[in-house]
Amino acid sequence: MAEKEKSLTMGKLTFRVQRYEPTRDEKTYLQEFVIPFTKGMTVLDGLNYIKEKLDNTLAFRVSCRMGICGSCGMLINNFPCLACHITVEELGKDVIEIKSLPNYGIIKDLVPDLTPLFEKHKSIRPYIVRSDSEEMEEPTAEYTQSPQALEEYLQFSFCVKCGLCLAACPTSATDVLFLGPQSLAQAYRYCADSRDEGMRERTAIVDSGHGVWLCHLAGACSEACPKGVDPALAIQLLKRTVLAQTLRLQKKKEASPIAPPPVEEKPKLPVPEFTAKPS
Amino acid sequence: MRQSYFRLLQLITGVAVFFLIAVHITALRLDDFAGGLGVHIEEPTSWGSVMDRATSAGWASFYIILLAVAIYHALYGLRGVLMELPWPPVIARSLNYIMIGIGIVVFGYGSFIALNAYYS
Repeated sequence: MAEKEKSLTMGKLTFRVQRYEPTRDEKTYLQEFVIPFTKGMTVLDGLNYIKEKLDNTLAFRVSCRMGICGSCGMLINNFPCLACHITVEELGKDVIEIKSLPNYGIIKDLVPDLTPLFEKHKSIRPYIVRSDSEEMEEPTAEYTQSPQALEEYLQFSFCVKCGLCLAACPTSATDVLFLGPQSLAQAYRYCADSRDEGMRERTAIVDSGHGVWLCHLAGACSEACPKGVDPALAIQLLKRTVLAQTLRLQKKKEASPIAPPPVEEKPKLPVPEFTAKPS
Repeated sequence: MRQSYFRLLQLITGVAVFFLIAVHITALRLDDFAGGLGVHIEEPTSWGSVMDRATSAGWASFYIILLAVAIYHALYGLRGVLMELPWPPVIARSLNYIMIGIGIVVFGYGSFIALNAYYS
């Protein structure tokens, strides 16, 4: 095993990792670790190596290791990305600087305080809002939706709430009250959903002083998004939706009805004679 | 009030400023345009021409409208930029009132001059 590891090792990497212990440190500082490079290793692999073999006090969030959960968001060489999503070879440097995500507080080392992200996300009512509250409380069937209607919002529903877009956003850097690309994109995602009837409530939230109009279309959010959600596009579509509603140009949306009960159908092929019948 | 109303007004005033400024610049360069066509008229920036326009109800109204439209467009844009700066909470809360105050003062002063010239 050791030989295999040695054969994969091609050189040394220097990881300059941000450290911060709130009970001890007044401000953050960078600590250097020299680790072996192995082909195909991600930045997260490097951090795991440090945690396992060099310093077990290093704190960072991680879960799925494959770009699904969105836990390992970090500022890697001054670009917000998922540590599991980016390989050392892609970075193309021997020295890798890793910091906690900007535009958030720091809990410890590389662990950002994502509370503002989730508070803003909750504020835009990120769920299907319907007028038929009885059906919502005790559903009898699913709501229908055509593939075309699904396409309207599908891209924006890939958001994993990693918070990279908000870390990259220049407006969020200066205005902490700005709702941010994640929640605005999700506001559009639900407004564009054919099953939803909460557009009016959501536009009242996003059409505020720190809402959708503060976006200057820098596009940093879309560049940082690891899932291809393109929050900048969603925000522009949301602006159009809000303005159309203000000008009374928005067509009244009929929410998707409940799916009809399934019709009993006879089997297309006759049941073979030799089929065992229940006794 | 929703921001989209103000935003819409910003778009409308932006278009209005474009056309009103075009009229203003054309009026000030009218001698050049007329000279190009072989017609010689009085210099638009001479004392006589300026006072002719100032004492005309149409021109006085035009300039007061241009002033109002330009002030709204400029101050709303400036407010958008200023709102993103990390102000102390007191200033952040009162930024709208500061902008409205500046707008009223500038509009009051500008329209006073226009009306004073009109009634002179």
